[in-house]
Amino acid sequence: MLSLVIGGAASGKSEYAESLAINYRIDRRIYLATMIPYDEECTARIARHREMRKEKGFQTVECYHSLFDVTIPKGSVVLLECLSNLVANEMYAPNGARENTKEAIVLGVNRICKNAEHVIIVSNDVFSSGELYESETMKYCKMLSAVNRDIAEMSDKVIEVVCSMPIIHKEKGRQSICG
Amino acid sequence: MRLVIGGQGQGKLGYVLNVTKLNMESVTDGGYLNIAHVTPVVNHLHLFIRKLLKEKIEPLAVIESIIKNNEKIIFVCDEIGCGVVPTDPFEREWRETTGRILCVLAKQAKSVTRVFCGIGTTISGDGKWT
Repeated sequence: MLSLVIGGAASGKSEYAESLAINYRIDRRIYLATMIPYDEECTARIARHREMRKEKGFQTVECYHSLFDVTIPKGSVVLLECLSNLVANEMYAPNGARENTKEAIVLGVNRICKNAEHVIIVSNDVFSSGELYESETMKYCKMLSAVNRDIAEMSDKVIEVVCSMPIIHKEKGRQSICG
Repeated sequence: MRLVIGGQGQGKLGYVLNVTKLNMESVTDGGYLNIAHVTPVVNHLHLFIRKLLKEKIEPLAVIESIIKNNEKIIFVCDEIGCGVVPTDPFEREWRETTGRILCVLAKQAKSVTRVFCGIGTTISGDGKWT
């Protein structure tokens, strides 16, 4: 089963996604981490989050881009956090997929879903600020929204998190590509 | 009149075309809308409002008159109110006016649908499009 969890900054989306992962009661939990440790601040942040997740039984696997190349144990629960980092990395990091970002991510998610029992993907809602950012940022927003829509289409469940409360936009509806 | 709202890039227009079976010939972009040639769907209503404000024309009156002559019109509009208050006065006026107009339109609309990641949820009125 594939679930997409989306919310704004500090909406509680990560915690909600983690609780979803834990509720499946499958011991093999993989956390796909996407944040590149660019500087000390990033590194400290990553270390703290990793420590927090350890208690929740997640094994952390770093994946900054090229999701397709990640090996996922059969029958595991995978939490991928988050698409906003992954899209930025694919678009701008060396060896990223550049203009093929959406296709690369969709292919990668499809492959993960073949092995994992349950997949939870976290993404960011940055689309209602009304700000007219400079053109490269607009390009990024456009790409992220397109990836979000495609993953939503593939998902069994789409959940928007607002103030830590889930709003279910989609449940079941179409056949799962997972499991 | 029906209203379809949602963040940028959420698939609002695609949703409208899908449920109405209309094609792009029925759509005008609000940024280029000429009130003498109104189509069944007006996309990017927030850009129409922006254009009118730039021309120092009161947008609500214009929009009300469009509705009067095109009762079945579908307005598609970005939600633009969730960022930090803009420092530029014009940007503030645009954001404020757009939000207020959406409130007025929502009250009289046959339906209000919010699209999120391509998924439409009718949050008020009659969601039967055909």
